[in-house]
Amino acid sequence: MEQLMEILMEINPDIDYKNEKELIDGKVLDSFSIVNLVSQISETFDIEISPKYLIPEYFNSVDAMWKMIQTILDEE
Amino acid sequence: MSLVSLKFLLFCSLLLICFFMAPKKYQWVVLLIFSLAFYALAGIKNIIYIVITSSSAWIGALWLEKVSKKAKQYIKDNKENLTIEKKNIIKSKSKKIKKIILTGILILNFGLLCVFKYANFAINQINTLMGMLNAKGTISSLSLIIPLGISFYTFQTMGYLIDVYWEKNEACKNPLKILLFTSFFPQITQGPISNYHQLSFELFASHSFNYHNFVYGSQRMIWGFFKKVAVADLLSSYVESVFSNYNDYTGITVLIGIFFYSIQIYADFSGYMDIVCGLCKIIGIKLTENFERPYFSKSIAEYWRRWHISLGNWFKTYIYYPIAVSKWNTTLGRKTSAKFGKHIGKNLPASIALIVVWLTTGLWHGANWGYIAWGGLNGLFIIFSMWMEPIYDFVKLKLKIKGQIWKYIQVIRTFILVTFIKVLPEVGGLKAGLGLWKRIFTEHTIPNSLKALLPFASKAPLIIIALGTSLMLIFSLIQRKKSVGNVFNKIPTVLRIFILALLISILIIAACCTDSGGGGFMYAQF
Amino acid sequence: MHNFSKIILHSLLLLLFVIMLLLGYMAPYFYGEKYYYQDYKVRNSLCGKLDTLIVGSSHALRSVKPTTLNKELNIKAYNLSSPLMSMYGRYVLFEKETKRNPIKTVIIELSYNALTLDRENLGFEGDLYVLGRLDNTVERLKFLKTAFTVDEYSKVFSDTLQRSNHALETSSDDIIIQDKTYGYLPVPTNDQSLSTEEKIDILNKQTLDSEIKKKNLQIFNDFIELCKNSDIRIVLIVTPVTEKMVLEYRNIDEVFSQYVDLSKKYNCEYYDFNLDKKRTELYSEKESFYDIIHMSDSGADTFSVRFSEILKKVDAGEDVSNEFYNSYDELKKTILNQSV
Repeated sequence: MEQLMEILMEINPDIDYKNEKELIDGKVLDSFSIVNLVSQISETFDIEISPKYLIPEYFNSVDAMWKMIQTILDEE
Repeated sequence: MSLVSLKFLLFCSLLLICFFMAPKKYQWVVLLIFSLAFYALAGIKNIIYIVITSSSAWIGALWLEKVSKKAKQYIKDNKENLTIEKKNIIKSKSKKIKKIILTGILILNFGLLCVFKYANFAINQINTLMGMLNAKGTISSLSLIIPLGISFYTFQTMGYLIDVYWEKNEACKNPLKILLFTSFFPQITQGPISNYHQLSFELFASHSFNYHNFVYGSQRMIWGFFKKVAVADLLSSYVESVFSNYNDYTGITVLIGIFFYSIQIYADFSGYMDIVCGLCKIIGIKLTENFERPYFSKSIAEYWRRWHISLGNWFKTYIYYPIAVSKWNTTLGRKTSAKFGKHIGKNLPASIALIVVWLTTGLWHGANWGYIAWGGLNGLFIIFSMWMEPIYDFVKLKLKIKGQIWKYIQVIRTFILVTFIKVLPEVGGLKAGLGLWKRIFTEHTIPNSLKALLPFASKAPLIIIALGTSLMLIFSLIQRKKSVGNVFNKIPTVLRIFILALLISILIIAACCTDSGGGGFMYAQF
Repeated sequence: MHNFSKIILHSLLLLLFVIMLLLGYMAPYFYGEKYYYQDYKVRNSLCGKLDTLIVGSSHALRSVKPTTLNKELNIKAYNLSSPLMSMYGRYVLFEKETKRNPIKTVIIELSYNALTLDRENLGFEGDLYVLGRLDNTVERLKFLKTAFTVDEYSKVFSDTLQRSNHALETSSDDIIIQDKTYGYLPVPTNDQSLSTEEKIDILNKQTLDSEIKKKNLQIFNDFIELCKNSDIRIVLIVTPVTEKMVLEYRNIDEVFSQYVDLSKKYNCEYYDFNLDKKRTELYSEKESFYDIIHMSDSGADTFSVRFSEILKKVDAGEDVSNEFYNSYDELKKTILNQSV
């Protein structure tokens, strides 16, 4: 979880990740940041994020992202 | 069938009656029948292509799902006996089969699209090349009539198939439901391109007649007709005059011409969206929005998140992300990060994906070099600002530019840029587009009267255009915080109806202004 | 149900407002008098003063100068003609003016297709001009109902809006000249002369529709009846066309011999000025015509004097039949012989 927070802070330190629940729907993170985020997450956690996860449901909040990472890890 | 016709209004009225009288279970069938009828009226022979796309997607999706389910079931049933290695082999085998199925159907459908849209373009390029190499003979171009909406429905339906491949949604068992999804008539001509998950929910739900939806939907339709007929169509003849003879006009006239074009294309396209979204609102279906005050964008990247939103989303979901987060690209990113630094390593994968997206977006819009150049130019601007971001931030910090003024500058700058770029492919090829740009920058006469400035324009249409544009601007300003519909419906009923009547009357008058009068009356000047 | 009745009520109100607004927008056309043919203000000012009316289509409009007739014959004439005028259109305007003027004579111009062209082929343009020349709503509605078919209403409607639009933009003050010309429209000259080879080339190559249409005849009959009942002298005329026109059509006599028969049937005067024996000395193919079937201002001058001359002779009791050829065949021979 801390690793995820670290990545997020590096991408954009001005966002309040703890409370923000609409990172995608609220257009807080743009598509460039997402790509960067995905790249970092897949390297850090050694997982492959298929495009099916690139929906707001999995990226709107830190918790959602963490859940997604866990789901992928479980699948593998 | 043109949307701006009595025929279409009658068609909609009939649809609404049948739709709300039908049993709720079969309302979608009514939509399907009307969609097919609408398509047949455009050319019954072309129904075969839309059926091919829809059926191949239906079959493909079910097949893909079957293959996944089979593999998953097998792994589940033999959990204890399978090693991780064996599990991975089964998984990758099923993935391979799925890939083949998907690729085959994508090739079939995009192949059809490419043949219809790009065969003649390709033939022309080959002929040009052959000419340059002094080879004898030319390939004759094909006479093809492009099936209505093929660019839209192919994308929409293949999106469904890819979503099933990614297991984002389940395959639909009913082929007729997929046919409706593919051929839904409000979207067929100009979009929006919807995704299955969102649209299917709307299409197959049951809908009761709702007074509020009727009122808001019909008001939106009237507004859409007004934008299209009273603003876009009036401007189109002026824009046509400028584009076809730009060397006959002063630079400043041509400049005004390109801004006319920006307004025209927005009024036309968003007006069309208002008509179809308004109709769907009456039906009770929510269509995805395609415009969100695009000319208020502060950058080209933002512009493309507010203009033709559904197309942008399609490209983002099915081309940009898959390329940008693909293994080879992320590996490339990591390697370049390590060698050249984080900034480059972060931007390189995105840039590669963007180049592909923008060249294909350009090609999607039209089969000529002008459109490809236009797409490439848009991409370049976006990539450039991406790379320049740290420098912009640095400059902003150093110059201590105040937020509000900077925002206005950005909006104006983006609007001007977008207007210039937009025009490039519309004049008649890349050469003509560049010629038009040249005219603006090299011809400096200042006209001394309105007539000299706009020799092709007359007073009444200009007044209507000005009125329409002001209304669009006012609505956009309102929409930043509230819904225009809500604000409008607070107006007392009789006044509200009068305003709508005024809009309708103005658009009828505008339509009569552009009507050439049945082949030119002999004694019209007498 | 409450909602449905609201929808219907609101829709009706919307329709009412739209109709009111569009009718309002037509006002500049009907009241602005910005089109040449909209001469109702001039005619209103002449109300009660006219004793002679000229009724025809564009041929009469461009050939008959009331100012000349007024001077030569000491009458007060007005040219009611307008382009593509249908028989019914002529009748309506004629009836209106007859009601409010002490009309003693009507000069009805009949061209080669005045009675043979049916409404379907003529189109509604001529009736549009008549609609624009009427000056009260009741008359306009009546004319709209009778002259136009239902499927033409939307075209009439959109055309009127277009003309209104144009009327709003036009600022010229000198369009209406009928107060000076008494309804006549001057047009410039265009050379219509042919070489001998050309004349032989085009000789009898085309055919005219020679069938007089029932509807036209019916209205013509009503016209004549109205005149007879009001004791109005009827003078049927054919205005001059170019030699080109005369030579080109092989069955002109077929058409005009029917007019002769009609004039005999109704016992009215009939003068075909194409067959005027003096035509070659009076009119020049170079100067007297605007196009193949219309005279120019210069030609109209000459013709109006000649026409007045013939009428004076007739009023004096002379027999003018020897002033005219007996047939178009005879005329054609003369034209061709003279070229040699």
